[in-house]
Amino acid sequence: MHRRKFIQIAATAACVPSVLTPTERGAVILGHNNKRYRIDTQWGALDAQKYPVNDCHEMVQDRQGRILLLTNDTRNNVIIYNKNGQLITAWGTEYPGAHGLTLFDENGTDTLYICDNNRHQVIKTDINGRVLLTLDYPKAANIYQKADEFIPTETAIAPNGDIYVADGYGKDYIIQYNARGEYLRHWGGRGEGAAFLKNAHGICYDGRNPERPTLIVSSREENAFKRYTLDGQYLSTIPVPGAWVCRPVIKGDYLYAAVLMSANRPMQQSGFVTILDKNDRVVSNIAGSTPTYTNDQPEPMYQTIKVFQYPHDVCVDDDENIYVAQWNSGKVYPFKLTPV
Amino acid sequence: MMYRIFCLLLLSPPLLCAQEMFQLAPPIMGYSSVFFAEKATVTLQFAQNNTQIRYTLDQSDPTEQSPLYTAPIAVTNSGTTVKARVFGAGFLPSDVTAATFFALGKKVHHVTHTPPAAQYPGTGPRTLVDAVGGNTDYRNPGWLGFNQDSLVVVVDFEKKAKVRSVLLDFLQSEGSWIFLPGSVTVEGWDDKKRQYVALARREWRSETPAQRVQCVAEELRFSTAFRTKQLRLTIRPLAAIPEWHPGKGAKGWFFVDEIIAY
Repeated sequence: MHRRKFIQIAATAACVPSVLTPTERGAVILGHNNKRYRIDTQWGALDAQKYPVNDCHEMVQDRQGRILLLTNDTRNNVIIYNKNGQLITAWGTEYPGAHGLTLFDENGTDTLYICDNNRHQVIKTDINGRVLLTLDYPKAANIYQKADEFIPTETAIAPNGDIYVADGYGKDYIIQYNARGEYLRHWGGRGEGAAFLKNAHGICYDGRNPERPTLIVSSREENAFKRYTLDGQYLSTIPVPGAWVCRPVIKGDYLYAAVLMSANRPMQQSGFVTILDKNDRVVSNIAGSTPTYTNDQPEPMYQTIKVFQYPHDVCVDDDENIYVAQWNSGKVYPFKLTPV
Repeated sequence: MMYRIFCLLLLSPPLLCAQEMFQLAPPIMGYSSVFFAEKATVTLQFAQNNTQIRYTLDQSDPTEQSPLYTAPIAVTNSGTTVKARVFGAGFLPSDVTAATFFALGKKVHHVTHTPPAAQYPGTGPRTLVDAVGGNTDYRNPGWLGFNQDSLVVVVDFEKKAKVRSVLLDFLQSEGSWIFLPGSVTVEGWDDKKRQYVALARREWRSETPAQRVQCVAEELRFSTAFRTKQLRLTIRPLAAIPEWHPGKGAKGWFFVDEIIAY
């Protein structure tokens, strides 16, 4: 039995009595430079008997301003909040491996793409959960012997509707389909060299430079993001040393990412949130180390304040608030960060 | 399947703590190895404004009265433990980060051992006697990892030497299924009897969880010093992971990065 298939957490959720003057958690200011926040750890808390969560994997905001959370508890895979953290509705019972949640504006209508690790599928639904399309493993790519080798973790949808699937727990390929779900091409995978990926956990479409849109893929175990053209040509690597970055999320000029854990304290609830500017430089680490560059290279980053355990995704809303969903963190509901 | 999660039903700290305060993370301790010929140099860092790193060298846990870290610490005494902790107004003090530093021992001419698991091969044939070790990240290439098989190590000294003890450095990272071994047996080659004789043995059961991920240096002392040119060590994995761990019943992994004879 291979150890790493069964990495576990011996969680030590100890609470040390305070001998210092107490500071309200909400009064603590987290982050750096122009990206600093106050936190509300109770934002998403619900009655766990009625609306349970297991891992809180990903979050998005829809056109109505609502905040959608994807969890792998099949009693309610999608929980929908308003921005104040009040429950609006919930749906979804058929996604035991619910992992990736991407929202795409399809000609004025919100559609969702759910990656399911257990089902080895990507499922497109409407905003109320009605299934519109199901993607199985791409036989035409000739890279998979059987369905369960394909373990999708994330999707990104280009403006033309092309679907990019990151096989982050499978073989680390990026697979491009057209909007109808027909296989077009694939790239990435594991290997030696900059163009390859190691735990291709997340992907996003980066349209910040409208003349030259690109894709950004997380190579999480490598502690890096990698940039590719829309047809998979490798362009560059964005190093984030020390940071196990989940998916990149672009809002305005910035790239935000949940950092599952710090490389210096792996599997020890050592996550934080990182923010990069449009020049791909880290400008703020929420509950993490002060960003420092030496000879244009970032110094290794790490958690400094135990605010989060294992952050797995961030959602940035239309008021620049950040919501943080966490994996394997005692079934905790999402936190909210409000800009200072 | 890969990355399958057995989520523990633990409440998160925010729910347990009546007082709404965050704890600081531990400081980052840096050193090239915990094994040294003359001295080890230890650095500490913590990139968070308005915090202080305090440290001790006397085994006690650092308090706000302990020395403030301002410059690298030189360690020259074998067995010295450096403990460090971060303090900052408005936060709970961090957990303690600690490492113990050891002087090198008898010069080793040659070492052979049974092969480790393929994914944790170490850095070459002298991994166990290269004076490099003490990194708590299991992915650090300095570690040899074993699971199903025992490790048998034969150490030849440059010349016949009077040996009093053997130190082995293990990784304890139980969240990653890495435990102390089940047992270690040390034997020495006896020229007159033309056979190995038993010198020391120790066993571990890992009955309660370790408090942190750490390197554990275990020194096995002999009842009397023994003159020999060759030692043989047999290290067996934990036969069954105990009940308290999600991997209960399976064999435990053990990771070792250095063996020193004194």
